[in-house]
Amino acid sequence: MNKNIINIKGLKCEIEGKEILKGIDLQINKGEIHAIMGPNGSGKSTLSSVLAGKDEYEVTSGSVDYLGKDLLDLSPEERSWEGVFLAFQYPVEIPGVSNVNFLRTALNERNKYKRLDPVSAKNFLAMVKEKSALVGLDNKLKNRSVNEGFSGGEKKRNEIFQMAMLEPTLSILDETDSGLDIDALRIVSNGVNQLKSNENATLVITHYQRLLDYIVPDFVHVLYDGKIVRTGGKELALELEEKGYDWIKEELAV
Amino acid sequence: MSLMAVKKQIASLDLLDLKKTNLIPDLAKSAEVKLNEIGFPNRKSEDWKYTKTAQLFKKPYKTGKENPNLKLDEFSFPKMKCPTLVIENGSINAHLSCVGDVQGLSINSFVDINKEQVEKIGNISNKKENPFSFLNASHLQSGIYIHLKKKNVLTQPLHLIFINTESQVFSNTRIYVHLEEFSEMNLIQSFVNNNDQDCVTNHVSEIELAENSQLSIEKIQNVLGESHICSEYIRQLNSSVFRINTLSSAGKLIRNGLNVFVEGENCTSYLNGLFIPSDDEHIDNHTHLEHIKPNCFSSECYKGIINDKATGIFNGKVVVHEDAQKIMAYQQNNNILLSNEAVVNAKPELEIYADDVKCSHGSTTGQLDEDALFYLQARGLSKSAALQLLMVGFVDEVLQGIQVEEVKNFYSNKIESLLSSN
Ligand SMILES: Nc1ncnc2c1ncn2[C@@H]1O[C@H](COP(=O)(O)OP(=O)(O)OP(=O)(O)O)[C@@H](O)[C@H]1O
Ligand SMILES: [Mg+2]
Repeated sequence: MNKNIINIKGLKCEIEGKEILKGIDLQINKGEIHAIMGPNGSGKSTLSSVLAGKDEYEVTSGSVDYLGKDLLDLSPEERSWEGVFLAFQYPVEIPGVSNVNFLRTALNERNKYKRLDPVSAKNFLAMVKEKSALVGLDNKLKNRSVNEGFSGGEKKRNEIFQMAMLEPTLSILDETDSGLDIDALRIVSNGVNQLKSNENATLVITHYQRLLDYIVPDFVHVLYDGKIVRTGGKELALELEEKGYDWIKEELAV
Repeated sequence: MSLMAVKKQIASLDLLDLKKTNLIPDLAKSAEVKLNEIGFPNRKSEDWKYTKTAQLFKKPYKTGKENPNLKLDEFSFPKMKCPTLVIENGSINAHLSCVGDVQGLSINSFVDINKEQVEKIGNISNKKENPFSFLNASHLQSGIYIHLKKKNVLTQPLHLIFINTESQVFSNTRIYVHLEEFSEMNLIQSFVNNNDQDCVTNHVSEIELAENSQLSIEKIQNVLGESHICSEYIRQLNSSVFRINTLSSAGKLIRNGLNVFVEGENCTSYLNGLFIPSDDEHIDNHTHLEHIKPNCFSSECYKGIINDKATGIFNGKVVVHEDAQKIMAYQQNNNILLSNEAVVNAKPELEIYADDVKCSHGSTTGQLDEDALFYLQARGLSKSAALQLLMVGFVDEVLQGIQVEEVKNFYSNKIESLLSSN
């Protein structure tokens, strides 16, 4: 049995002629949690956007194998149907589109793709109830327009609520911890941990070691200037917290 | 285009026989005089800058006959069983109309109204000099006087269906709506057609809202291939509430001129609209709202989705007179362009002469939000489903303002199917 979920090889991408990812190699197996840390502007969100299929970025070389498929060949919606989920660093506000209506459409489109029956109204509601409890999403937020007027923390909870509804195989959490208060951080992390299994994997992007106390990573990677320059265990996060990034920059300069 | 040339093209229309009525011998005559004075809109008319009407008069028009096989099922709202009046080719179709007996409500042709009522006609519309409204009066084909006695609150809306059933028909129709004190009603005006035929409807509504009365209008314009000049003149007295939703989904050339004169205190006015032109359609919404007295609230929200080579126009003017203190007047217009060749002209105008007022206006025009599109796709919506959801979301604010539930459902579905075909 192949334990591999995603295998990124030599991935380079650019936007408006500027190279942002400069050769990324990363392999994630079933059951693993990986963390990516790195200074502002190093390319963390770019990597997650490229994996989710944003076409603004032009992939110039490299490959991404996802469960035996060429991920870069799939549209954003196909990636989602295949189990890729990105929790956005900046979730988008969409006025006039109801949170639950849109999720129901999303689930049904996926089921159609997988040749499954549509979710019944009853099952859907039961699922909404269970999953929103998991992340402590306020009841009234579910029926409001997607993220419109949500506080920063509410938006992040809503991302994890949607993740719980879609039950992805590969979850990419882009700074989901920023904007969460201390209690919310614990609740949301618990939610993420409960969704964890031996069949799926999680990639968390964060600036803060604190999140990794809750969501304990198997591997920590440092992304710097479009490349992964260091990989270690969870103790690497502690080291970064203590010393910052300068020592890595210095080592690289030598 | 000269007035002479315009009149020549509509010279053969059967007009309402004013002599048969005790009506308005003066209405037609004075309109004629006014028309001669101000002339027809030309290139220099600021108000008609983006809507060229000369093209409407390139050929002669006629009066249509009643079509004995006319079916109206697809235009009626069967669940409501509301009183319905049908105006076919500019004339009242008595066979298809069914008004019944509604407490407090009287509906009469202009031919059958009393002197006091006769004298009202033209009073509100003459506050503005619109050549098409004068043309309507001088070439009137039918008029309907709707009167609701005081304290009557209607549970069912009144439905007026305007339909042209032959080609090359020109219809000049007019209604006068008078709501007495504390009366309330909903009015649906459907301008519809069965097939693409080169007709023109030039319609005028005059509306008088007495103290504490409330009127909501759902105005449906779905006239593929036809042209439509539609002018409303509303006069609001103390504590009255007026609401109109102008829902324009198809029409070769549509010009809506909505004029609201708020002459009382504590009035509320909602002017909302939705326009979705495609192909080479042209939809123009001109609104003009005057706050003359203090302590009133008005809110205006127009949304446009413009596709292909179509043109959308929004020109919203709010005037707050010197004595109209403590006014809250909000205006908003948002447009989405679905193609590179689509055009929007948007011009919000505020003229404020009072100092203690809260007014705002804003207009945006752009493409659909790419980030929102990506967000929805990344959650598993196909591109077409995501686009449709975004557009329905965009117009949601207007749809939610529709008062008659069945019209709201009808229009939500209509919009979805319209937008999904893009
Ligand atoms: N659409 C864009 N157009 C131009 N430059 C871009 C665009 N998107 C990203 N970049 C640039 O790419 C680089 C990487 O940005 P990215 O958002 O991936 O960084 P990040 O590591 O997520 O940073 P942060 O920690 O601040 O979230 C930055 O220099 C950024 O300015
Ligand atoms: Mg980022």
